Amino acid sequence: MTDPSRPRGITRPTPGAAAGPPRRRLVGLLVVLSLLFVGIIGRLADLQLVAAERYVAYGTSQRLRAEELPASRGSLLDRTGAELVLSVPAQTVIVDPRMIDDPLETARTLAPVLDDDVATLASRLSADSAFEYLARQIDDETAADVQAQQIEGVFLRPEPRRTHPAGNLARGVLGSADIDGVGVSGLEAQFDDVLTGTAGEVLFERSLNGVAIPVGQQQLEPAQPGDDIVLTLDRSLQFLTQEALAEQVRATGANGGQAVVMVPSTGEILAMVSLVVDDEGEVVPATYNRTLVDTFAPGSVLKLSTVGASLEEGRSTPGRAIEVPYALNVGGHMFQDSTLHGTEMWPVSRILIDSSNVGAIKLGQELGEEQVHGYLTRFGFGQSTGLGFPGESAGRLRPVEEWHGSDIAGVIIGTGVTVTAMQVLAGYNVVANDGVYVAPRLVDARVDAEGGRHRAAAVPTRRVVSERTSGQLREMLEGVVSDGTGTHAAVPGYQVAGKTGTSWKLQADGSFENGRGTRDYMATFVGFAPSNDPRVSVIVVIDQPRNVYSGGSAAAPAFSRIVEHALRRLDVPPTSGDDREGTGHIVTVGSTESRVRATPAVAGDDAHVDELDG
Amino acid sequence: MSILSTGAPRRVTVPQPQREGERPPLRLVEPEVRPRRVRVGVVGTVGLAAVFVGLFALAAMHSLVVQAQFALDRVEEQVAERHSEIEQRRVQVAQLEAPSAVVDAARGLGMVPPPDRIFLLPSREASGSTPEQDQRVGTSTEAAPDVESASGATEAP
Repeated sequence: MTDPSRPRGITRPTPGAAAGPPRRRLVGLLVVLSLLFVGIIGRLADLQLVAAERYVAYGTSQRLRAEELPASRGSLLDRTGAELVLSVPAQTVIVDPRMIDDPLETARTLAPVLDDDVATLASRLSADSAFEYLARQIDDETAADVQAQQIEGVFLRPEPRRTHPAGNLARGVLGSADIDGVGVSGLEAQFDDVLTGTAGEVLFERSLNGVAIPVGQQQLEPAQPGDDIVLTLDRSLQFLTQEALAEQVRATGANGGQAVVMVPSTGEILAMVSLVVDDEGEVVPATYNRTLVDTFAPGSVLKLSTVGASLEEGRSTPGRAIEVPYALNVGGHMFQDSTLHGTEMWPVSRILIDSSNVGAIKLGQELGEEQVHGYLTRFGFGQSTGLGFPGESAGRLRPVEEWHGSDIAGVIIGTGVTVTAMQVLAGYNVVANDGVYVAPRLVDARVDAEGGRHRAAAVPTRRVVSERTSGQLREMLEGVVSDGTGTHAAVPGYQVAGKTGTSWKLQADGSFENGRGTRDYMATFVGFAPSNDPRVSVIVVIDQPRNVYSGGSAAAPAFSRIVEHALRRLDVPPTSGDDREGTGHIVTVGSTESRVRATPAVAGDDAHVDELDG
Repeated sequence: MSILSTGAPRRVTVPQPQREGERPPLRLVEPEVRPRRVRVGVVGTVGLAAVFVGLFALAAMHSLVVQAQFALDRVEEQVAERHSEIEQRRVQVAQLEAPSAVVDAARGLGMVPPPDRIFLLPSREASGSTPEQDQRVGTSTEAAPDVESASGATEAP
């Protein structure tokens, strides 16, 4: 039945029919709220108990920023403390490409500042990474220009730059380090662990915009710079030697040259020069140390060993006469002297002074293969000098068991052996040191970050021949310069001892013939001065001279100039006068007043006061 | 005397119907013991002021610290700049001292290598040298002429 008083179409909602009874709704709401509450409690527990450390670390990582402090690489110094290689502060521009909104526009802004092209910069700025280099090791002015642009996402980072203040001087010896400061050649590579410092780190709290928060957390672990290395090289003498050698290479039309200057008594290397002729015909420093790496057939300079062995073994005296024909057949091969002569009786001393191949071979045959090989080994051939220089060659001195036929003759006259220039000079220092071999050394000391100087270990020495034999050899070597093949090596005012060497150049294929079917030469002169009190020893090797080819003509003149420079540099007074035009003169300053005026020298550090009072 | 002080059982007075014109009996009422009144407003004000002053002092101190930090940052930046400058100067000195630079500078000044070189050695009588030194220069002093000059640049004593 319907209620007639109720309007039609309107029905009273039945309690609990649509929304349910209030009790059920309340229970439902309670359940929902309870679940929400449990969720919140769970989340709180997760935040505060379960994952608390993780979130703390995450927050810390957002706040704290660590920056590496690059360690300065140690310097390479010459014996006087002059810098040959050093690191200077520089800035590197880096970018976080994720922070760059418009790579092309940014590239256009930075291109003129960094002197780079827009396309290259744009590709780096739009890279899919968080870190890219834009420019490395730029100077402070450019870095300031970059900073002035105030580009978000572009940062500056300190990164020292390696510098050679003396240009290419001794570049082959010093070597190089790559852009990351890792030594890759020469002394840079050899002493990389000493030169490399330990990077530091600074940890600080930063704000949202990256600025350090004052009085925020900060930790600093300073960088430890690498140690400096003091070399035995003398910068001025290195330059003078390089200039003298370059002049001789140009004068002889050679392909290059090598020169080493040493103090024979201590084994200190004062200069090491390696030159090549580049594609444009310019004589330039080689990129590697040829004096230790390149080997060549030394020629007659090796006769010293055989003659010394003959004297030491009591088989000869300097005056002993030996029959020396012009040519000699050994094992089916003909060996001959450089100048035509009949069969003559020559004293042993003349064999060395006039560099007789035949005479030296005959002396060697008397000794036998074992002793010839043994003395070459004692003089230091066929083995490393102990310098430990990267790429250093030991040369080639085959064991006696591999010698056949004419090999002994080739070894004696220096064509069957390969050596480095350093080995030859160290061998001649035996004569300068009264028969004692002193190993060469290139490093004088290491200087740590606190300034402590640590001297290098003493070099090993060993007796090779007796003092008497050494004295006899020295007289013969003096004769080479005064009357023999090496007269161009004379130095005005000083007595010089030395030996010439001329040999065929070993080609890349191991033969002596070049592509034209002819032979190229290696010209060598090695010696020391003053011969009665050797203060300096020098070897000069001219690679493939064209207009002259012998050691006496191609190498000896450069030897003379280098020795002259070295003796002046070492303050060694002359021991005799010389009347030749354009050479030095000795003025003895007596007790009475004397006044001398001279033209100042112009060569590196040698420019000096030109007025002296006696 | 008050009945309260007697300790005697309290007398219960039965309310009597008030007669007209009769006054109700007087009784002694002791003042109500109330706790001392705290001046909430004063304390609140002082407290707020203290908090304000404290916060202000804290902010001021923090500001000073921040200023000092900025000053320190500036000083450190200047130190780094000077250090960098020293290193740059060090390179410049090394470059200027390089033999090639010295030679170029000398040539630029018109200096040329000498055509002749003169070595000065003290004579034995003048030098008062030790026997060791004598041994070293003896040969030269004996072998060399007293004064020799090819260029004429040397004046004889």
